[in-house]
Amino acid sequence: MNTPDSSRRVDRVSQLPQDIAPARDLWPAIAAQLGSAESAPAAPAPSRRRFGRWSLGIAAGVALLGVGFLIGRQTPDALAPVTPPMVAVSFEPGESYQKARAAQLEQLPARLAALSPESRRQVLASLETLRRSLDDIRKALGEDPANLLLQSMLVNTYQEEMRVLTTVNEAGSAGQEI
Amino acid sequence: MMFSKTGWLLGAALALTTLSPLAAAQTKVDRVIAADVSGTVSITNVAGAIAVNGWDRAEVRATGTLGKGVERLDFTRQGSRVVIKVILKRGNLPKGDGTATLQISLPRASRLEVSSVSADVTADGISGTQKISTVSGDLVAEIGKGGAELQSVSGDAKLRGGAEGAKLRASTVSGDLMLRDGAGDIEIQTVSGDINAQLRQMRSGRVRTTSGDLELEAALPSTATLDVETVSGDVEITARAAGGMSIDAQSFSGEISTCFGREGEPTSKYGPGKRLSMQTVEGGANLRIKTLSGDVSVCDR
Repeated sequence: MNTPDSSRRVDRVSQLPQDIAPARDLWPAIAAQLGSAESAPAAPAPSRRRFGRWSLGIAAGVALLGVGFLIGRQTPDALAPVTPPMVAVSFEPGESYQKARAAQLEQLPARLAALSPESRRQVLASLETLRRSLDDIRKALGEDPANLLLQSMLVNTYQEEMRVLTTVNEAGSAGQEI
Repeated sequence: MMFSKTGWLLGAALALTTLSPLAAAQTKVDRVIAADVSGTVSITNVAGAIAVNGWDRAEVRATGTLGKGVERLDFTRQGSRVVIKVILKRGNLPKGDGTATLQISLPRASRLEVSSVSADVTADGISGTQKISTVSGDLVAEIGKGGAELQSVSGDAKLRGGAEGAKLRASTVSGDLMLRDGAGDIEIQTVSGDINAQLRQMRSGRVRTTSGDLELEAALPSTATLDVETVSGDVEITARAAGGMSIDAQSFSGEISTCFGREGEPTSKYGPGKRLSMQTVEGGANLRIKTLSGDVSVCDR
C-alpha cells in the first residue's frame, strides 16, 4: 500500500498514487447504522417532529426566495447579467423607403458635382449631421425602445433625410438643365 | 389679351441687340411684354442676381445685363404665363461668364415663380403667391397676402412681412432663415440652418430642425398652435400670449426651462428624459416642443 509522501515533488499526474487507503476502516459503523434504520417500524402518521422539519424547510425556502428577490432588486445594472432582449426591435426603415433612398443616393454624386464647392461642402455636412442624428436617436431608442418621442423623431428624421436628398438632386439637376 | 405694340417693338429691338454677334462682353437688355394682372411670371437664372418688384401696370419688364456666357434671354408669354429664362451657352464657361443680372417688374398680384442656382433673389411689393427656389443664392423677400413657398439648399433667407392669414412654407438644408414682422401660418424645415423669427402675430407654426437652433418671438392669440421639433438644436421661445398658453415640452437629454418658475421634470426615476406640461392660464395658445438633446426655454417676455 502506497502512502502519499508530501515531501516528494510531483511533476506529472502519472506520478500520483493510484489509490490511497483510509487511515481507519469506516464500513462497519456505516453498515450498523443502515441495519438499524431498516429494522425500525414504519410511522403511522407524520410526527410533530417531521411536520416541524417540513415547515422549517418551507419557511427556509420562502426566506431564500425573499432574500433572492431583495438581492435581485438591489443589484446594480453593471452586475446584472446581460441578456438579449426578448423581442427584437428593428429601427430600420421599410424596404420601399430603402429602395427610394438608394435611388436618390445613386444620383447624388453627379448632382453634388453640379453644385459649387461651398454648397457641396455644406450639403455634405448637413447629410453628415442627419446621419449622426439618426445614430443618436437609434442609440437612445436602444436604451428606451418604447419611447414615443424617439420613435416619432426617428421617422421624422428619415423623412428629413429623404427631403434633403430629393432637394439636392433636384437642385443639381436644375443646375445641369439650365 | 392684346400685346402692347410698343412693348413688342422694344422687345424685338432688344432681342436683336441681345443676339447680335457684335454684342459686347456684357449685353444690356430691356424688354417689356403685356401680362395678366394676376397671371404667373416664371423666372429662371443660374447665376448673378434677380431683383423682382411689383407694380401697378399690366405688363412685365425685364432689364439688366447678360454675361458673355449667356446665349440668350427667353422672354415669352403663353396665355396668362410669362416666362423669363436665361439660356447659357453649351460647354464649360469661365467663372462669371454665365451670370445675368436681371431687374423684373411685374403686376403686383402676379404669382411669382423663381428658380435660381447661385443667383441671389430679392422680391418686393408682390401680393400674389411667391414660389422661390435657390441652391446657394441668398434670398430676401417681402411676403404678401398670397403667402410664399421658399426652398434653398445653402442659401440664407431673410423674409419680412406677411399679411394676416398669409401662409409661409420655407425649407433649407444648411441655409439660415430670418423672419421679421410676419403674421399668419408658418411652416419651416431646416437641417443645420438657424431660424430667427420675430413675428407680429402667429396663427399656427410648425418648425423642424435637425441641428439648427430656433429663436422665436411672437404674439400668440388664444387659438394659436405651435409645434416645434429639433434633434439637437436649442429652442428659445418668447410668446406674448395675452390669453395664456399651455406648454408641453419633452426632451430626451436636454434641459427644459421657463420664466414661469417651472422646469422640466424627469419622466423616469432611472432613465433619461424630461417633460414639462403646464398652463399659464386655462385654455390659450398651444405649444408643443420636442427635442432629443436640445435645450428648451419658454418665456412670455
